[in-house]
Amino acid sequence: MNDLVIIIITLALGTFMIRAGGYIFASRIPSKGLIARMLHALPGCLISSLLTVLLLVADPIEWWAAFAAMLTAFWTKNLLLTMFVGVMIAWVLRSNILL
Amino acid sequence: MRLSQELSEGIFDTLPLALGVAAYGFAFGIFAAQAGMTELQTGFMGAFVFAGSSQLIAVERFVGGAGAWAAILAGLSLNLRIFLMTASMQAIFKGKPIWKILLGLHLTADENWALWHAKRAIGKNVGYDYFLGSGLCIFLAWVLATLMGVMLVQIMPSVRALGLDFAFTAAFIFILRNMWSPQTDLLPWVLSGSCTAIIILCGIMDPSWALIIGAVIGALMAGFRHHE
Repeated sequence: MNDLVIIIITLALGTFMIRAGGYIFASRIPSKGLIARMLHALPGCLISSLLTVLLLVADPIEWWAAFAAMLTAFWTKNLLLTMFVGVMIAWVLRSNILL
Repeated sequence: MRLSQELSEGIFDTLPLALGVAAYGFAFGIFAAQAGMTELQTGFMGAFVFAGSSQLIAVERFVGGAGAWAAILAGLSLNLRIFLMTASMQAIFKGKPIWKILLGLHLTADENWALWHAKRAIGKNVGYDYFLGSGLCIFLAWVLATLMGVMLVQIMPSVRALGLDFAFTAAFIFILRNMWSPQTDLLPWVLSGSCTAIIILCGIMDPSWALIIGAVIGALMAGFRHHE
């Protein structure tokens, strides 16, 4: 079995266990306090870390594209526009059209 | 019939949200194809994982050369929040047959969960059928749109050459923006990113593990901060 299949199946089973776990242990899961705050904060922290990884290995062109995408995401809150602007900036800078 | 009416109400109320999900799913399909996934694998993943950002992070880590387990751990960590979501839905599953409970749990996603709570907050007495209709709507939008994304790349391989690799990064920038609200504490995010960068730059760990450790440190900070 290749890695991709292992990832898909394990992620599917694990995610379902999380969904079922929330229901089964609902009365024991704190809705406030340390654990709840950690669970709330974890997704944002993960994405922030992932972006750090992606930008660390990126080249200056991608930093500019990321900067443009960040501005677009912040002002428009529009996924497609954010991706479009990011990809276009990266593509234009790479293809030297403007030089 | 009252039941089917509530179901269709759930579907219709969710349609605007489903459009956003479809756009995101379409983009994921394109990534999946670039990562070498087939239609079957992408469809299976969309239907059985059914958690967009975790699918994206897992496939990205896989493409980034992380081992399978690092990719899985990143995806599952992102999904831990669903624990709190299904826990808050317990009341509507009470007394339902087991298959309905399992189906409802599987269909719990950010969008329909938020919609359901928003309806409750304004005093609408929405129940299981409403939630089911809403979940089905998101589910169909997600699975069909991801499949369309994969197929587009199969039909037009040139999409690959358009420099869409950066779209991955742009999508994550958008996700982070979407998670942010004026009430969000930014310090844990900053700490997560900084710790991840330090761990990688000092060569302590592989990036895929560094990002998980960094995120856990940030989440720990968020957990402890409000006690001060």
